[in-house]
Amino acid sequence: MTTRLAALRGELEDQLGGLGRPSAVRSFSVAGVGVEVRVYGGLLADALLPAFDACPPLGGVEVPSVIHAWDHSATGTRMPAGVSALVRPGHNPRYVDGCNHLLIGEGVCALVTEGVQPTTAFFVVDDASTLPWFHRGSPLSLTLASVLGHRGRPFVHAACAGFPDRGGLLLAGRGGSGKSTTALRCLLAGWEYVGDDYVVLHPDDMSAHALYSTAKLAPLDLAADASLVPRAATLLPDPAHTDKTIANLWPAYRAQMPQSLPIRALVTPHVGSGTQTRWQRATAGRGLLALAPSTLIQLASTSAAQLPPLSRVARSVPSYDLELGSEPGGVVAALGELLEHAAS
Amino acid sequence: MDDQQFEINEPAVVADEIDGMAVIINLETGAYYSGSGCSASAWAALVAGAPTTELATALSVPHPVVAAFAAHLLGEGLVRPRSGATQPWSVAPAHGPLTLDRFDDLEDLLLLDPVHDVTEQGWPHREG
Repeated sequence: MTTRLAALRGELEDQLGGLGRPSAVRSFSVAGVGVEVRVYGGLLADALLPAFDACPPLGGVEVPSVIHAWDHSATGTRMPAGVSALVRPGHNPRYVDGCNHLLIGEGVCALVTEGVQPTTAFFVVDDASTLPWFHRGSPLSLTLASVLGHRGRPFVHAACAGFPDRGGLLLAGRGGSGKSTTALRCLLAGWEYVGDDYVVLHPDDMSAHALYSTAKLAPLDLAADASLVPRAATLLPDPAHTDKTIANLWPAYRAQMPQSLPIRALVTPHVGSGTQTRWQRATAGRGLLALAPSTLIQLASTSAAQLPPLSRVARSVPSYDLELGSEPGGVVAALGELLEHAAS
Repeated sequence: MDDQQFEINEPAVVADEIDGMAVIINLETGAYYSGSGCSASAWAALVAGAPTTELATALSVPHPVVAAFAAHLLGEGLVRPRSGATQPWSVAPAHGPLTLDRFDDLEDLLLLDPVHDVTEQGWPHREG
């Protein structure tokens, strides 16, 4: 039987066949997995590709997983009727028929077909000029989470910063917990920066790998502390005028942007009420509680297999609670102490 | 509730026990749960198929308490009546009430809609 998702894939393949040559192609490696993004439509390429600037080019002979991305407004195509009928206002529905996974957002759909190597995925949007900020700061996140997760490299909803000789801190928690701002403060204080929102886990050596070269700047944070703006970075254009500023840290901070860091501790930040930043040891269960729900729910996980790698992180490294104080200078100093403690 | 056996409500629910804490995530609702001590032991035993009467004896708590805990898990969609064979189970000595902490702070992240499986009856219809 041809399922509806298989039929939808056929529709998308037909559209793809009529698009001609892509406007831009970016091939790169993430945690040893090859990915190629082929974008049709210049505006969409400008929106999606800068965030991958820090990813190393493909090495070796591995055939990459391919993500085809196009913009209906620029290419003169239309969202397939099978997708339009499934849009549910106020929801981001997911549909699964075994090997085909369809995710639908506002003006966006992503279809990933797993089980065939290399994995092929489609990411199509109505109009690149209206893409929300998170598609620019963390482009193709749901698509890449599926593609990389299928190759044993789970996406993790966490920030990571540290040092090459001491390893990195994995900062886990839901949006608003302070992980992005904390990672940015570390970068500006001279730490190495792997990511502020998503990193890729390599379970074999328990390391966090960089994917996005971006940093997200919330207006409230900027209003409170203008020094948070990484002055040398490029601010990405935001035609949709959404509520966050996206800075591309590459190449201005390339010396502080390693491909990966070994994870030394799992840290759960939360915004405290005092001025001082404090940390304390926490149980592995508390660490997992910060890491796993946020990761699996935000990335629309549909598989029980995605939890064990996160559990292994919580079991392998010490967990800490971090209460963020309002005094900016104390945050990085406290994290330095924490990292020393974790390494001791 | 009479003696019953349960299993985890996969694939909607994923869970792990670590460091004496059960972490349970409902991927369909966005709610997640934690339980320590007696609750973590009871969760692990119940999803392994422990009959509620035997579990009550093993935990040294009245059967209605275990039955109420199981009914709560069932009501939250975390477990379902068991269809397969029982797995080996045991409980470590533990104390405390049989309760789970429920967290709803992630429900607004994606406004999750349940995964719809494709059936021959059309789409989207959940498989029965």
